[in-house]
Amino acid sequence: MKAVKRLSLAAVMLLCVLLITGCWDKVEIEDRLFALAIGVDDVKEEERKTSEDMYTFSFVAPVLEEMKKESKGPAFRTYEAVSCGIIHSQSQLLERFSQKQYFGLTRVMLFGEGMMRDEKLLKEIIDAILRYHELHNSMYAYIVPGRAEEVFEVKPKFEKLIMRYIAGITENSSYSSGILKLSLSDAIIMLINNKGGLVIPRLIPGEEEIRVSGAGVLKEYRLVGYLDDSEVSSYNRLMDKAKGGSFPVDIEGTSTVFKHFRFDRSIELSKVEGGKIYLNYNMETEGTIEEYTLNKIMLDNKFLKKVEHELGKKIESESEKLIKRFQKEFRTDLIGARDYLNKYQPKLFKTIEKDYDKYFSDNIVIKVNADVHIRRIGLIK
Amino acid sequence: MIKNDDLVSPYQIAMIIIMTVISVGVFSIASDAANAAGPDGWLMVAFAGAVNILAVLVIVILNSRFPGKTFAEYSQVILGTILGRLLTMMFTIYLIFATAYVVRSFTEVIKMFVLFRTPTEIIMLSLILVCTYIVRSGVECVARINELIFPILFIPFLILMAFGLPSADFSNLRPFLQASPVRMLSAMPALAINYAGIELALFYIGFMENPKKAYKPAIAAVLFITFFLTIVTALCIAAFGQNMTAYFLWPLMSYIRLISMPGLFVEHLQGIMLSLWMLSVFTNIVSVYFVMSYSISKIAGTKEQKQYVLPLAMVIYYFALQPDSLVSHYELAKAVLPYFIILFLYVVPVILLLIAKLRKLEVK
Repeated sequence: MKAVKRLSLAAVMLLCVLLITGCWDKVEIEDRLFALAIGVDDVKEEERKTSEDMYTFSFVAPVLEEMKKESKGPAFRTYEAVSCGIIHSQSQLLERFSQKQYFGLTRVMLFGEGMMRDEKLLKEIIDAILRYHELHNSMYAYIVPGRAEEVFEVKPKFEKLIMRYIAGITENSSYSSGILKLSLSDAIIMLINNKGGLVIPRLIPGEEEIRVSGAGVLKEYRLVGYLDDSEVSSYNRLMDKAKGGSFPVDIEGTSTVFKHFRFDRSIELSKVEGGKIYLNYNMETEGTIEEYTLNKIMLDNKFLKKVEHELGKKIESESEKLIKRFQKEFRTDLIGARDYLNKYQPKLFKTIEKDYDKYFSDNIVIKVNADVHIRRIGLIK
Repeated sequence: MIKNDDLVSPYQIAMIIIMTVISVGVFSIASDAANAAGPDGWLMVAFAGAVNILAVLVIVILNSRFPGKTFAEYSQVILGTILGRLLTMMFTIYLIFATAYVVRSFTEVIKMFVLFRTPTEIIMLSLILVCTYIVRSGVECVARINELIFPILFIPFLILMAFGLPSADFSNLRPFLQASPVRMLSAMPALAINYAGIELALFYIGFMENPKKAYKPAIAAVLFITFFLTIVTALCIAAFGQNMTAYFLWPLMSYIRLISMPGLFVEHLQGIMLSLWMLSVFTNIVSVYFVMSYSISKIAGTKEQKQYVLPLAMVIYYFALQPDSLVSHYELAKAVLPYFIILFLYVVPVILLLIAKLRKLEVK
């Protein structure tokens, strides 16, 4: 009896702890402006009022009346502010609108291309994101070619809320390897670990839809180039970020698609020779082929082995092409070799740590081995 | 001397030690550790904890020579009245600083995340006054509040931390043992601050019927603390990597803020985290506070400790308000507290034990 009493007392106290923590700042829900997406741009010269103005912020908030099914207009409004930083823009908005901003539900943060080219602007905004307690880091981050505010002018055809639309696309990354998924905290960790290096998904606004396509590459806190769609797939594979997806390949003049649900990558050191480091990226995947051409019997081991071989070759060549691009064009290691060397070959890494980027582009040789397994071939033979 | 009903059970000793040590340090320990030893930070936390097993052993051995006596009393037996009182006085001053540090750290975190516009003074005073109420009721109450809050604190705490596991990448804990030993040793004082509180066993074991029964719970308590702090550090480093972890002021808070699961009906768990953490701070202050008032009563030679509690609240409050900003607060704490802790946790018990052995002092 005593034990039961004690237990129930503990349960009550536990509930108190969990339930009393809901409300502490006495701001009513009607008075809140839920900023669901934030866009950050460098300021346009003509909009600059004082010399401190560096950014144009766009905050997107839902309009509750428009959320109903019948109403036609877009269910969100954009609030813009030109200021020196996110906190100041908040107080600017307080002077202009009756509601108080709330960032707890923000899903999406967009960076305009202009500010990504500017080391100072990027560093300042990243610091603000980390330092400012109202912003959380679990939202998704994107780069927008052109200006981030343009994205909010899109009137999406099928969804009312633009940020749910964008976040939804990104969450499809488990099914498509062409989508790069990057949370703000991962982006910041990557930026800091790579001293300004980052691969960030690109968001392209269209007329009635938005596409997550390709990725921006940053080096030393500056945008240096873009990856296209297939390169993003390769990037996901190289970084062990790929899960599901499909991969087209041409077999005997007929194109077919390999669909995978699992994609693993591991790195191993193969040898150190003549001042060069040889790394192997071993990839393994399994999946199905469910499209080919009529009258072709696929229930044939020899044929499947051939398809697997072709697929492997194509994955290898595409990956190696991207590695070349990082080594020769960007001359920076954002594909995990440094991470591997640091974690698993610390003694070796210490000898090359200084001036690593140069070493990476000249003296690290990466070979990709793809091991493809076709497990199933669909409903017919 | 100690009244008969003012007894502490062996189980309560473990609870007191655990709940005293786990307080404001939980939030910042990962940052200190990552700063000191990079990915080896968690190993270092474990190592620092293991060292404390020896320290707590010395404390229990010392205390079991003088059953029914606390540090404030037997230090006078060992060193003589004047020196003993001086040492107890020093201990009390250290405890005042330590409590002021805890109160201020607590206020800073609360102001950062929850009560942005509440005056610092209100947060501090309300915290101190609640503690005052409990401390006035004596050692039994202190022990019981620790016993009571232990499960309420740790069960949800561990569950909460488990939610963050998907964002942890344990390869971030590699490479093992790459930091140089010199660098690791020089960082020990900075980590010692997170283990402050074990030295309170010097007092609380004195309230036990049979101090020899304290071996098991004391060691178990230190093991638990080490385990817990190591897990916290490892999770933070795994989630953020060493560079980011070292960059945060309160990595554990950032770790909790990272939790966002689609479908989880609560997001932003920092509120729950903070309310739990408030309990741990509260128990820390209560335990320290009691020892403070108790040793003052022993220095003054009075029977009761009650009358000193309320005036002490003002002193703690005053010292907690002294640092100008968060920066000077941490600087001040790092300049003063680690040396006191090392002195009272590692040096004083050993010296007292040696003298007691040499002088063959023992209460039978």
